[in-house]
Amino acid sequence: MKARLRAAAAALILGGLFVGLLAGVRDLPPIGDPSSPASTHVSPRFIEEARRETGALNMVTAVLADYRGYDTLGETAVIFAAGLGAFVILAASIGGPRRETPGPGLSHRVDSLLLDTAARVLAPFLLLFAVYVLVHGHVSPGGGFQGGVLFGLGLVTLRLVWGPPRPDRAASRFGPGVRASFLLASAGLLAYIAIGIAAMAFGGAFLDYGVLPLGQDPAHVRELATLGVEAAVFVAVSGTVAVLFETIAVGVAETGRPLPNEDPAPVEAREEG
Amino acid sequence: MIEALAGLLVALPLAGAALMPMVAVLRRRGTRWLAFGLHLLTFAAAAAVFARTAATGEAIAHRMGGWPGPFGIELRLDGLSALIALLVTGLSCFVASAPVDASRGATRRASPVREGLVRGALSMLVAGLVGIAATRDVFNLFVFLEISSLAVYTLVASGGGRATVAAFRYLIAGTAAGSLYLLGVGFLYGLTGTLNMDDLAARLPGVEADAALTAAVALIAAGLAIKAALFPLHGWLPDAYVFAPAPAAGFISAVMAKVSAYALLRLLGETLRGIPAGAMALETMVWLGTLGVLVGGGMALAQRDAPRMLAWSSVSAMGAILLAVGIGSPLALAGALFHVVAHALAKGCLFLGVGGLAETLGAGDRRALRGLGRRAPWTAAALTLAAFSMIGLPPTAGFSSKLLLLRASLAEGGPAGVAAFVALLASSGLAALYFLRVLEGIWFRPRPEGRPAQRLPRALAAPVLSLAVLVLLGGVFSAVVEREFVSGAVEAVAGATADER
Repeated sequence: MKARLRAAAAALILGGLFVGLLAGVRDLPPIGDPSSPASTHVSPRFIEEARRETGALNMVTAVLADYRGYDTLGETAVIFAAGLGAFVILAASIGGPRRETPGPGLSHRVDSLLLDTAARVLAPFLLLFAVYVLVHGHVSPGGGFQGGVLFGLGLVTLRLVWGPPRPDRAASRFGPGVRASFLLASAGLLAYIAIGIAAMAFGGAFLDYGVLPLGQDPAHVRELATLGVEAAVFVAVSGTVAVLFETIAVGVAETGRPLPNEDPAPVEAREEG
Repeated sequence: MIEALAGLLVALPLAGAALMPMVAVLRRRGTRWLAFGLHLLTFAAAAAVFARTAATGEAIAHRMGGWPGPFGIELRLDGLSALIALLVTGLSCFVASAPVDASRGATRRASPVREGLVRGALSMLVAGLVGIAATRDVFNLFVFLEISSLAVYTLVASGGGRATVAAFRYLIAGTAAGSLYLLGVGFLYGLTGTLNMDDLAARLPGVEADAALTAAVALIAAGLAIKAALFPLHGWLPDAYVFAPAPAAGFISAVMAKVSAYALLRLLGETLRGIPAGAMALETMVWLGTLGVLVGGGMALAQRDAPRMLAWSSVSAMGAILLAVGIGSPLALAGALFHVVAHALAKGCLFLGVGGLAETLGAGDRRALRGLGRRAPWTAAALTLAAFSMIGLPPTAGFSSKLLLLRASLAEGGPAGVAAFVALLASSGLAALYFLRVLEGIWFRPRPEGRPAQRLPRALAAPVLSLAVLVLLGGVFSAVVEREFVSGAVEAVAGATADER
């Protein structure tokens, strides 16, 4: 009865929200209307001046990485925070006694000619294409976020098949795979902030790329710096993808969820909390 | 120079959030003092910015990327923003050096790597909250809302066990809140073509689309009200505060919901004030806040578990703050902001103290606190002071803030003002009942047989004592606090609304 009441209340609230939104949307200017406020107030400057002011051929990149670059720094931080949170919750907080001998889990090289060959063929193209997506974001759809995810997946492919960078030490909880992933993710976010602070060191505002002394005219410097922050996003995002993978890898090795060919080990559930 | 500090106010803790996991996985130690140093540095920057705004009465702006107003993103710290930033960064210093894993029963120390990661999340939370306080861009505010939310879920969940479930529920509520807010921002952008708060305030009166405007205001108000735990949207709060590890609970209970209350004040009280739906939202807030004051107080009285009682008393306090924001007169705003400061100090102190004790004892039952007065008189005295402040007894900061709130609701008059007045008085009575019950156990009852002796971990004892001293100072020198800290913030809001008329 209580559950049914609750469901009815939820349906009522969602229905009300739906009707309210419909009524509100009816009042908005039509999509694509050239005389709407969204197309006449701020965006004309982006459309007309972006090339001259920021040097970017791609207007979207100009807004994303320059005019509103601060938001993009924030979004990079959001992704970093998500990876950090997932790792803390799923991998670093694991309670209960550790297994005597951590299972191989995902921490060792897989001896399979098939997988090895597939990874060798797949990974170089994946990694190269990721860099292409990053660099080409300047002129076409793409950029640091998309390229970063692709690059991260390339790393994960290799990591799955070859194991972590130094498998001899992989048995510890925070093995080299975890370390490398966090270094990558942190370095990307730090690089973005460093570019912002570098601009302040040369007398501009935070992320005011134009003042950086790169020996070019300001628009061109801005274009270069835009590529710089996109690269920082790229590194941060690919590192975060790797962190998410390591989260699963640590969980597999530590919680004792057995792999198919392993003996199951008893796990004592955490009691307090 | 001071403008540069305003820009660094967010960048510093953000860099800390990236740096600490790095240091943790490389060196496996050292994040404790690094975290403390970074939070202290950020606090120093916030204090410098605050001192400047207080001295000149002018806001300090920092244009990100050098782009002006509506084209780029502007940070601007006026008296109000600087006060919130000061509060957040100041309180973060108290918990930054505490062991993150005073987890319940604390039989096992957290690995240094995990400590570093959790400290990174705390730093991220500070960056998000200061960003919310500083930004003048409604979309940028959403970004910082997301940063602070993800960080706070991590901190709550780091308690393990039931904390994970509490964090998950918090995540669902918080994500819904963020989505509602973002939808509202989308409406505003469609109607005005701008995201800058000042530009919005200037362009909104010319918009003729009442239904869409009402939808925008309702969505933004509802989203932020969930985050601010306005009754009846407070469901996430008790579990999240109760199950979070003590240092995290101390910090979160002190500032988290209040920064969202700040965002409500900033947007509804300033940017959206000129439109009818905005005024209506504020009126609704007075009534819901009044209800929240009563329900929170009543529920707190019904709890056996001490941390849970504190969590419900937070619902009551948020109601008091939000009803004053809804009234919106300068007197009410002064009361609201004074209450924000007083409650942050007192509740931070209580959650650190009671949470820390409950965690070493392994149980939150309020009887576990019995006999504390003989065993640890200083800790008991600190908790007593903080409890007096929650009730609103002199000479604590809570007395001064409650008095301001009562005066403001009387001056407002009308049914809403009278209801608020009665509810605030009643909440003090309820708080007296539920806090004195605990205090009686602390001072006059013997320690129950077979219970281990209570002792606060040293890293928590120092923050608890110093916060209690601040609670006392805030009450004794309430006139100074009002003049130096609160009045500038009130002028920042009142001045902006006066310009409009």
